[in-house]
Amino acid sequence: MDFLASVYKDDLLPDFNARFSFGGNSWSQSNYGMQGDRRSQPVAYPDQFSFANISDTRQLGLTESFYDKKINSLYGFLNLSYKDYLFLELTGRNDWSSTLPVETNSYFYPSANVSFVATEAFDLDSLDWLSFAKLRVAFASTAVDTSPYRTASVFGTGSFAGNLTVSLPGEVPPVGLKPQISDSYEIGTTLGFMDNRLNLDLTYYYSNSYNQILSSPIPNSSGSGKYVFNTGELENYGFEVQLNANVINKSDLSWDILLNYSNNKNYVVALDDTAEFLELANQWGVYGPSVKVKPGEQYGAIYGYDYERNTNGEKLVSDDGHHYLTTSEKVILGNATPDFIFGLNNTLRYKNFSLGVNIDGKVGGDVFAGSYAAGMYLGHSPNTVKERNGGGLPYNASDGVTYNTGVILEGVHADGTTNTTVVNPIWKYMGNFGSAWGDRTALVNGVMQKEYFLHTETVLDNSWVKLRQVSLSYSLPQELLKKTNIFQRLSLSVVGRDLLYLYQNMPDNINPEGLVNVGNGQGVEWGSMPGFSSFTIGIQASF
Amino acid sequence: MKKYIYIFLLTYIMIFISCDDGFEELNVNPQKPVTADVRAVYNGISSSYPGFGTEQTFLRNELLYSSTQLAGLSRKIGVDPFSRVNLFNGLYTKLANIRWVEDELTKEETFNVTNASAMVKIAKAYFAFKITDFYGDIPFTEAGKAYLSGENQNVHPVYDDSKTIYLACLEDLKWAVDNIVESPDNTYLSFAGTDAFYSGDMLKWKKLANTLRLRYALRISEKEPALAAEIISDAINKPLIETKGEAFVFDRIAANSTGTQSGSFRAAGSAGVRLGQTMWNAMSDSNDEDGSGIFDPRIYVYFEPNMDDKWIAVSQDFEAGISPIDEADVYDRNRIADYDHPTTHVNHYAAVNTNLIHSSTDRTPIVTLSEAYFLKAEIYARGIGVTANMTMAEENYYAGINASVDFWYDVVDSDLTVWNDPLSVNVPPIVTEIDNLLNHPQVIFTGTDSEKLNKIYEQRWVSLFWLPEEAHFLQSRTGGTPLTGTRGNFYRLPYPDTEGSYNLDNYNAAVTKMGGDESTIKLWWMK
Repeated sequence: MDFLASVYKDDLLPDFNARFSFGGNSWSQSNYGMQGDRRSQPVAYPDQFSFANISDTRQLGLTESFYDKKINSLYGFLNLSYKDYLFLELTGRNDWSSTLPVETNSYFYPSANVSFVATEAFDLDSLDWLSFAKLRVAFASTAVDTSPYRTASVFGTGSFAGNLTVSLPGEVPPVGLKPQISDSYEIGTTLGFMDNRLNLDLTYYYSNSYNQILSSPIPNSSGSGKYVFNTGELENYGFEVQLNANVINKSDLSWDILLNYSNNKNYVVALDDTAEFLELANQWGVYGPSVKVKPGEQYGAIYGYDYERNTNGEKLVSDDGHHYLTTSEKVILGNATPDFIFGLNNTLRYKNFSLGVNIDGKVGGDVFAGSYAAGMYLGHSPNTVKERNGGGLPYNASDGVTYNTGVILEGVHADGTTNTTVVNPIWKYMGNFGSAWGDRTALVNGVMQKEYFLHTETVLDNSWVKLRQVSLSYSLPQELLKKTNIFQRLSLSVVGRDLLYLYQNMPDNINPEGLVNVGNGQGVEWGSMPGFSSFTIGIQASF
Repeated sequence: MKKYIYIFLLTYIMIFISCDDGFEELNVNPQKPVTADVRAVYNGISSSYPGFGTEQTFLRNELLYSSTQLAGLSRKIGVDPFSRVNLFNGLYTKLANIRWVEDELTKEETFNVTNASAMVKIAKAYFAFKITDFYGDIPFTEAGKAYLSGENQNVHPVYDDSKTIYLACLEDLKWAVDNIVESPDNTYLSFAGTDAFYSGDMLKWKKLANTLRLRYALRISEKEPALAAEIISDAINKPLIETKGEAFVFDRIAANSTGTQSGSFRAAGSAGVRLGQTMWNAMSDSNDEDGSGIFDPRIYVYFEPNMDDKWIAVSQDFEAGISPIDEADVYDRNRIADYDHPTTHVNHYAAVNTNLIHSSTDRTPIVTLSEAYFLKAEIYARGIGVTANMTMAEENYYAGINASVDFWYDVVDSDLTVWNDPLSVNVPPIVTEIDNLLNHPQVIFTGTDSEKLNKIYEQRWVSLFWLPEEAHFLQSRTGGTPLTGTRGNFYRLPYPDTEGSYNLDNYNAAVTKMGGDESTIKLWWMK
């Protein structure tokens, strides 16, 4: 249900224009889902999708899902302009959401946007290289509610010995839900040079988000594993540049370049008195690396077990020379946030041919390369064959024969002496890269001790430049088409996507974009599929 | 024109004036309750008395059967079993629910909550003993409080000294014994309707609480003899479990529950549990593979001979990393319908009885009548809190063996359709079989006092076949249970890694105090 009404008045005052719109909206969503699992039981009649159509309906695993949500909104816009160079836009919106408690379910959020076109306001004819200049400043507040059914804490149900059981939910729910608010500020300029053949757009933005509903893992000894709170505060800022150049502009030949650059940083300002950190990604539980962030830290920190070092910074090796000693807790080994990302699009047109070349890239930002770790510890990676091919040190194997397969783990023992023990190369690869394998307690003959695998060697800088797309198209000349009397327009095109990495630094051809998570939890790669290229041949015709 | 616009607007504003009409009703979860009945929450708490599925597979089958030598192993899963045990997390989840019920009981105005409080205290004590006996110092006074509000909430609980927890829990059990009202009228809040163990019979709960006092007082008797004596001298004269109907046993039939242990035994490594040399020596006086040396009729319930009907026991020295020596999936369900299934009944070593594993009438012993007798036998033999009295010790010793044989043959008797194939045993055992057992030189209560005490330990150990954690505690406390070779070095479970990740400061303090987090560290009450 919607309504929108507008009033406008030109020349409200001399050179002033005004427009005011006022509207309302009522949005609702109601879903009900039912799912049954026949649990490998045969169906009686083929292609008949009914719960009754399985041999033993008592075995039917039935689940239901519900979703009920309603938001009512009233909003208004006020647009004011003075002459053709000063513009002000104000908006205001009030939402009422069914997902929030009565005390906080009504929330207002405004925005304001001012822009000033300098090239219109001042006589800049003397600056003939400057064709357009605009400055804009904006503030916007946005507020969102949450998913349904969170205002009251609910219990879980089950049964034991034929009677109902009721238990506390699996997570500690937030108290006093409030709308999640984000205030963002932006300042930017758009400049046009040389009859707008060169355009530059610069933007700096900052946003502060508070009352965010976030969750933090807590120890099970507290009685729960997850703590949800409504007081998270996050900060985000960045700089974006867009440069658009029309390098050549002839009737038969043109070349346009579009260059994008952006860097973006996210920080956690505050969580909650009881929550220590946010866990954004977690591979293999406590044994593998995790991506987490504490208040004051930047998003994307990759935590893992590092070498234990002595005061001189030398790596410590176990007394038997088999493995490195590792830190007792996970420490920051890298950060997944890139320094910047960029894109470069070229469009070259010659007569009826058009060639597009798009390149994009990511500079900086680390990743835990899980597939690489697995390749190293399982001995699948070509990097592991050096010793096995006899390129190692003389090593006395268990069959009593000496082979040139041994290695010495570089480092010192706890007493400060240099490690000189030649060991089986499995310790170099499995020991240093085997983070997929779990806790070392299972390995040390019978004695259960806590030692963790090392993640240092597998947290790697992941930068790449990719030839994202090349397209070539040809439009048949109009004179030719006229003769056919069929086509108004006919063009042929060949497009290749994801063609190749012009630069990448991941080992063993691991897909640099094969991350387990996108969004906040990026920084972990594991078992990713190789990238693939695609080619399209197209014909476009108008009749 | 403008006039119409205003009218139009006003109409809509009227519609929207109650912008949140019906919202509260809309946002009520249709699937889950927002309120809970303490009785239903109590039922959820008591569902953890029989233990968790992972306990059987990873704790008992992977660790305890071989460490206690109640059985032997022919293969292992080969993964770190400690990380797979959800006993810690599971019991703390229950503790949170216990805190919730305790909180509700303090607010109860209509009913007298004495008996309800006593049952909750018993559960809290039982679970706390279980965690602390496996881990040592654990979070307790601040634990399970994530769901409480305000100052009472705690999500990073400190670790308490295990001994302090013992004292607090023994005090709670005493409170239950001293305060339970045996015949409550309807002014008492009752959990009877959801009591899967005693159906609200409060005298039985009193006896359970008092018997538990004996169990845990005896457990600390090596290190705190005076305290143990004080508790035992009080408890021994108060009601104790003395009939099999009073035993604390989860009986699936009586509790209207389904499920068997078979899943836990079918798991890859668990399939390696076999009759071990030590138990074989405790039940047979010769190595004759035809079983002619067998003198303990419980062997026919615990175990079955191998594929060729031979009694061959596996040695006790199987360790992780050694290649499997008997890979038969002898616990596969295909043996329910076909006892001699050609692909699974191919075990070289005698295995745990397939009927015991697949019987849906399985009884999970928690505190048995035989344990109550063996506790008293030890107490009288050693004179802890009572005057040493070998006659009383002997009486309770034999009663304990009898109660154990009786328990196991009740299990057989309750599901003869399953046990029929091949039923090579008399149900119940005939008098001469019992006499042969009790008068066997390895069993008869003769010898020096120390030999008699060791017989008490040995027979209690035999009776704990289906409760290997209690055998582990008995072994770790007394060192008096049968052993072939030397005892392994497993004493405790390392803390779950979530503690090191999410409760780091408190975890580090506990580990520093204890001198490490290894499974080889002995707990404070261990010998």
